[in-house]
Amino acid sequence: MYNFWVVMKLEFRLIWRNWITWLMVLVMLIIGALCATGNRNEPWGSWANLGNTSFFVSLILVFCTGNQINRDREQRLTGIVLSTPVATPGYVLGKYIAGLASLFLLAGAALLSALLVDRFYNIQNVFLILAPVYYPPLGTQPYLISWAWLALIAIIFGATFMLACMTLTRGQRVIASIVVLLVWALPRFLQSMPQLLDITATVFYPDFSLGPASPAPSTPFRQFLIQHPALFQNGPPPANLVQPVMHLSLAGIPPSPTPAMFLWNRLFFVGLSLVLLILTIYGTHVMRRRA
Amino acid sequence: MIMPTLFIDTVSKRYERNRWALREFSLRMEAGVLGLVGPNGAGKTTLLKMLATLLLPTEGHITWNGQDILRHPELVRRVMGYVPQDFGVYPRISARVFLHYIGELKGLRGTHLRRRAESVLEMVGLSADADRRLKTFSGGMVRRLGIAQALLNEPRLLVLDEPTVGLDPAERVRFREMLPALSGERTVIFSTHIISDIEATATHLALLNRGRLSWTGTPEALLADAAAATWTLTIPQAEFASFRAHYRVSSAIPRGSSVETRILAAHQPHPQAIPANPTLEEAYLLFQEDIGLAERAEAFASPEQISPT
Repeated sequence: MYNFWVVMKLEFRLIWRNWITWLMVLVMLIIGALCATGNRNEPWGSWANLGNTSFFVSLILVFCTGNQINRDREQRLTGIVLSTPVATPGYVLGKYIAGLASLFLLAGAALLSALLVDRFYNIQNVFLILAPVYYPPLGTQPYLISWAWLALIAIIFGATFMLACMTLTRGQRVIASIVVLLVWALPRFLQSMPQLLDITATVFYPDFSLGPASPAPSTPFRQFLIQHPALFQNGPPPANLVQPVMHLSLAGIPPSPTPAMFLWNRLFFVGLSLVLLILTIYGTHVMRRRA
Repeated sequence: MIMPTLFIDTVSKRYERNRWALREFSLRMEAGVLGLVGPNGAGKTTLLKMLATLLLPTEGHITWNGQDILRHPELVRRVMGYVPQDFGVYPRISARVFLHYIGELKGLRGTHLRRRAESVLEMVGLSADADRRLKTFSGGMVRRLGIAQALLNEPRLLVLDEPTVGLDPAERVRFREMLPALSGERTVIFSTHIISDIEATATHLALLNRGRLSWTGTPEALLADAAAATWTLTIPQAEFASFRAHYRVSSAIPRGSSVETRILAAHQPHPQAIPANPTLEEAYLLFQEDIGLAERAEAFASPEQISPT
């Protein structure tokens, strides 16, 4: 157990001493700010916007991880490190948790940026790449819900998959990246995807889909939007419409009712992550005796 | 105090269908320094990786203190220090942080770890550079750090795979001076193909050739075996080229119009040749000739074997 902490501490240190990690912090801050300004510019699209943000945050972060064990091999460190009494599960878990915790922190940077911009940003003109904001803050809850429901599980699965793939294929990042791209992108275009296999949750929330638009179901909110075309003009909305729009927007985050299969979907990916982690430990154990 | 025994029992390693890196290697070793000597590709690294529990043999057993290290590798990992032939470091951390990391993995903690880290840094002459990032270290410094990490846990079994490769002459001398102090009550296995590295320190030698143990014993025994087969001879330059074509010349120093040579031959190669005391390198060369054991025995008995044609 102690060795797990030792490996994790050093791995964490190595990750945060890499300039790419700090570049990713910047990228996450920008994504978070774009999400929040988008929501306050068009609150009726908030759920889709939060879904898209979670999609990009998880996809970008997953591409940045997975090399922790393979890097030791590439840098010819396995001879020294794996001839010590460190237990293989402790070694793998230390590397894994350090990588995962770093991804959570990076995703957390996007969340924090979104919350701060949501709360404090009030410029009603285009500023740099940020949209003008015309509506009041959405508050903390929508961001936390989307972070927990959509981003966290995707990051857990992506981090585990990349670590397993990079370790078992001895550093074939191209293969791992292609698989990740397919797993993330296909559900965005294929509404016929089995619900259990959609890591992006697009099949549950068609708002996230990039595929051919199907006729949108008529909801009170849609009726309201259709009845008030003034909302879609450039510039601030009529003052009397702001409160109803905010009320209806927040009521749709998350859309209710939550599909029952959605929970199974999340559990499936957590379970799959566990299997991949066990495979990684086994693969590393075998590698340790064939260095 | 009972010394742990390392017992390597008819160990073989096959990498491909018909490519054996090591064949039926057996050795028993207690405290002391074993010099494992052989040309490149002889199987030294394969054997040492097995001792370091990083490679499983195709056949055979290895025991440490009576315990099978192939089944229970953790038993030997706790008491072992290993310097691989080729290794790297984390470039973004300092030597001190690296040593603390490896030390903690080896089970050292707190003050004891700090004291050991300082001690090994001092031992390998890296104290002044301990807080520099490893990406700024030269190859020789990284090599010394590799030796330092192996010594952290005061190992009972020290496995060094060509530790002097990449060291400059001063660093190599420093290492040679350090080795006797390391041996004490531990088993040190030190592979090299540079005989001078082990000349003064090895208590035992094992010569490997093409995956097989070709000779084992003390350095004195190796020298004694080669005692009657080393000669010195000073001959004119003009004769030297044809002479060299027929005899194994271990050194040749031009002296004006003549050449002072040292020759390895079972029988007097020239009427003016004088018997000489062999160096360990010369003795090793005799045993690494590209002939089998029986043929070599015959060579020592038969002048025709290496006489001019």
